[in-house]
Amino acid sequence: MIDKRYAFYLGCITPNRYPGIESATRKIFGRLGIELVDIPGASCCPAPGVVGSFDAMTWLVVGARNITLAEGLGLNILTVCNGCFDTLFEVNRLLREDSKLRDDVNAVLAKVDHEYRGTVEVRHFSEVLREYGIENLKKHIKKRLGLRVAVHYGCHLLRPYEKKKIDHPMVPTLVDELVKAVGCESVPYMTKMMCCGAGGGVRSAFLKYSLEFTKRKLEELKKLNVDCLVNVCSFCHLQFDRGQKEIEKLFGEHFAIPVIHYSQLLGLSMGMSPEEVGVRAHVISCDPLLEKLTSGR
Amino acid sequence: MEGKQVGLRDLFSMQFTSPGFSRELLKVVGDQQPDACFQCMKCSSGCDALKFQGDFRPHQLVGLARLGLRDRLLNAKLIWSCTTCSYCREVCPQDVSPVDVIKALRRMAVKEGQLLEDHRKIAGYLFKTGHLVPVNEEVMELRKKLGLSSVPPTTHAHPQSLEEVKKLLRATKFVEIIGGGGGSDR
Repeated sequence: MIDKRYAFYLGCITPNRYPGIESATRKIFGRLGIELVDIPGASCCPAPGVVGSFDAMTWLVVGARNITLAEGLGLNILTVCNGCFDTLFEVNRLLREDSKLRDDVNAVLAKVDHEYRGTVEVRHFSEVLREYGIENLKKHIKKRLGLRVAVHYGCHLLRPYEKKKIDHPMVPTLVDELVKAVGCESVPYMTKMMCCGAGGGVRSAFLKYSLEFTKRKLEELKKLNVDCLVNVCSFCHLQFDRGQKEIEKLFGEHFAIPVIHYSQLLGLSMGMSPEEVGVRAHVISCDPLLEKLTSGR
Repeated sequence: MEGKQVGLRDLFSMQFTSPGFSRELLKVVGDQQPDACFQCMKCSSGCDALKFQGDFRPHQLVGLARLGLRDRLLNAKLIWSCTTCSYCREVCPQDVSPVDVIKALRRMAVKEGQLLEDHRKIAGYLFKTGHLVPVNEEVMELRKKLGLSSVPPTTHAHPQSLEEVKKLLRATKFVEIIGGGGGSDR
């Protein structure tokens, strides 16, 4: 069931590095008649592969606190980053399934007067858009973009499948359908399901090694001559956008492949300006793609 | 194990074994079954990390864990090479989920003080700001241009919420784990 209102969970990368994704998301959902409500005082999710690798209880209680804030609003949570989605979804699931764990977590949360009740769902914006319906979505589209794009799903949207059951964890179609809805061609490629390389604390600890993943994907995309890479995760987005500059420095390889979050792509197709969706603020220039859109080639 | 490949001989040399390690590990892995691994190598055969770091082999890490080679695993930087993409969990025919074994090993290593310096630093930001990646001046300007509040409506804009997060991080001893609230402001 699709809701009329969602609690918009921001996380870290979205508001603090790529606010264009935040602004695009607020606007596209506004156009669809779905209200996004702020969650005042939310913190980092916290990151599943980082804090989840340090201490389980910390990961659980900080994640649970964020969920309780949405419970207070009485709204299901909407995320635009796979990392946030993974943490909040998994914490929600674990606490619902394991009453002993829930008691332990609530004993800690009691220190700050919160109680996890398990009354809200955690959703990723891409599955909410799918539920809204591709045909319904098309009604809001003013411009078929006509771009050749490479879809990058990111790992934590779909896995573990057994728990999330959103789409096939190896050959998904969800985001491909969404890019087709805005008149883009999703180009098939070999490394499509490969990790961006940023997760698990790898980017912060071993930058060069983490960029090897990114570079491998970009190498293939360069050969395929795509207009841009489209992602549904702010952290993957950062890894591909900032990463290209870091790759230039560390490996001396130049790609210049624009990186666009699906919220921004949808915004452009709804007729929003590049400034409104923040694509001009990316590290890798989106100008070639924007020129193509205005010239209608 | 650092820099050196782990071979069959290592797997069978039991002098490093700590009895009960496998059981200790099982307790922290949750609903997965590390004991059921029969070394089919399906996880390693599709592992992206292995493509760039040849001595990172999820099946071997699970094998070593089952054999109880505790100290070698916890001291190995190698357990931090995993991006947690969870491919291994999807393909495992035995519900072992190497990624969850690896995350459990990391938590045990952290408990023993084996936290990488860069991780200690970003963990410090979580304590100081409520965000692993806090906002900065440049982004605040950009936010304004986009018509957003210059400071996002998160712990950044709500000091009392940040205090809550800090209280939780003290209660779980996270602050001690990361060595006192470290991390400079960014």
